[in-house]
Amino acid sequence: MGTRTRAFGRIWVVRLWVQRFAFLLLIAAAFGLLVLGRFESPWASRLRAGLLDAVAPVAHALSLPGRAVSDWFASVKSTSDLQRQNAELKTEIDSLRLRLTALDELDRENREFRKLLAVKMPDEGKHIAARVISDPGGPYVRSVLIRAGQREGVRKGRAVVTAQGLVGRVTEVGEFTSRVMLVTDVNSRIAVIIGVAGERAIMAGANADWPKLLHIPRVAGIAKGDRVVTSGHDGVMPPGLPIGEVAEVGPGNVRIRLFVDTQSLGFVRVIDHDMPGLLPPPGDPKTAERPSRRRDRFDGGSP
Amino acid sequence: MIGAAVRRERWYGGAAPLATVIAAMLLDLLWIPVPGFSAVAPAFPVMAVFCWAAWRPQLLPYTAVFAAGLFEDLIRGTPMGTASISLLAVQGFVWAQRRYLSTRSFEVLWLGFALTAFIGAAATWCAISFAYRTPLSPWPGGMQYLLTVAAFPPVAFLLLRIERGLARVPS
Repeated sequence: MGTRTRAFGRIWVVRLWVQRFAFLLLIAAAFGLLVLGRFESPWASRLRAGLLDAVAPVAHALSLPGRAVSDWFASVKSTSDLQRQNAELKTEIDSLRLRLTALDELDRENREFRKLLAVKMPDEGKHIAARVISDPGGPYVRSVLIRAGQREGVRKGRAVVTAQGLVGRVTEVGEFTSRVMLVTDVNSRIAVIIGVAGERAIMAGANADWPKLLHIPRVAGIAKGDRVVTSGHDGVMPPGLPIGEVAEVGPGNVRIRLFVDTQSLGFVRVIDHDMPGLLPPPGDPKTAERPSRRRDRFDGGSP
Repeated sequence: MIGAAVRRERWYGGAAPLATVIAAMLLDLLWIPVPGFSAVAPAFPVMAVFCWAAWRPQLLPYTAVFAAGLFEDLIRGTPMGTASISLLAVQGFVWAQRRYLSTRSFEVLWLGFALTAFIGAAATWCAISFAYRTPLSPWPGGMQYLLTVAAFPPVAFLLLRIERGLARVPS
């Protein structure tokens, strides 16, 4: 009897001690998770992807009222602007017809030169259309959830675009939902080419509307208004995707105005594009793991 | 012998605080057609944790707040542990100052919330800056803090109605 009382007393003391220090223990555990999170563990990715699918119906339902309001405003706006838009479009069509003729000629020339030089062009990849259902990032993360996942053929690391240009890349893939890290996110790093001079740099998100350029070999070669496109040198993004134009050029500070308004995305397209020689063939999980980690370190790693 | 109805009532009472915190987190998924709003949208989970920690601390233990924080990180895509640190900091501060915050004078409660939310916002900024290994700009977090403090009264009113509904649940 005495032994049992003593044992019960000891358990009670331990329980009291744990309760008293639970706060500190849990803070330490959360801090430990932060440290472990730096190592991009696969179980955390799987957990996140699973939860994406679980919350996707809720996110979709919660996006409907906002979408309805947004679509209504858009339709009212377009109705009132119809006449002006019609006149503008007619003028644009005339000028584009002229440019199209010139482009057809250039395209024909290009094909002939490629044939002469025996250049093998990379596959343009298939496009997967998806609706943006939520943007739950908060003040320090710029990401959106899209309604397309493994079922539709979306894979981690794929480029996401709109008709205007690059939006970001896929970072988490669930069965029918994915998370896209926007190019404005502080963790985004994309290899780019600037202007006709072809200056190379890394475009880094800054959690602001305008990303900045890093590692520019020669700032003098960059001017305001220069177009910025993906270079494909990061082994992640297909080359030639339009991103934006140079908006600010200062000493050690070059900012890019994006072509895409990342704050009001409706539909996007995921480019299922394999970089030859860098990514393993699809459906090979063993080899798929290693290069994707390398990609993360370059394109999604901490700044 | 406790009746089934009483047991059910107790269970609902015990689950209500965590359910409101989770519901507040799901509000993060609400798509608002205002450009840039999601970056500065009020932190509803902070409000929920603050209110329950001040009014019914026994119904929302540290472990529940820790788990809810992990859930929020998974939804938002923030580094795991960030929201747990922030929400635990909020809860810990309220528990330490509960003597002043449980007075039910709304002005004191709001002032207390402004101070607590600042601690929560600072904890979030520190945790994310640590995870990303670079000091991030605190302005988006600052804007979110101001909106959170401004949006507190209606949310607190709603939570108070729920809390009064639990009045029969034994502490």
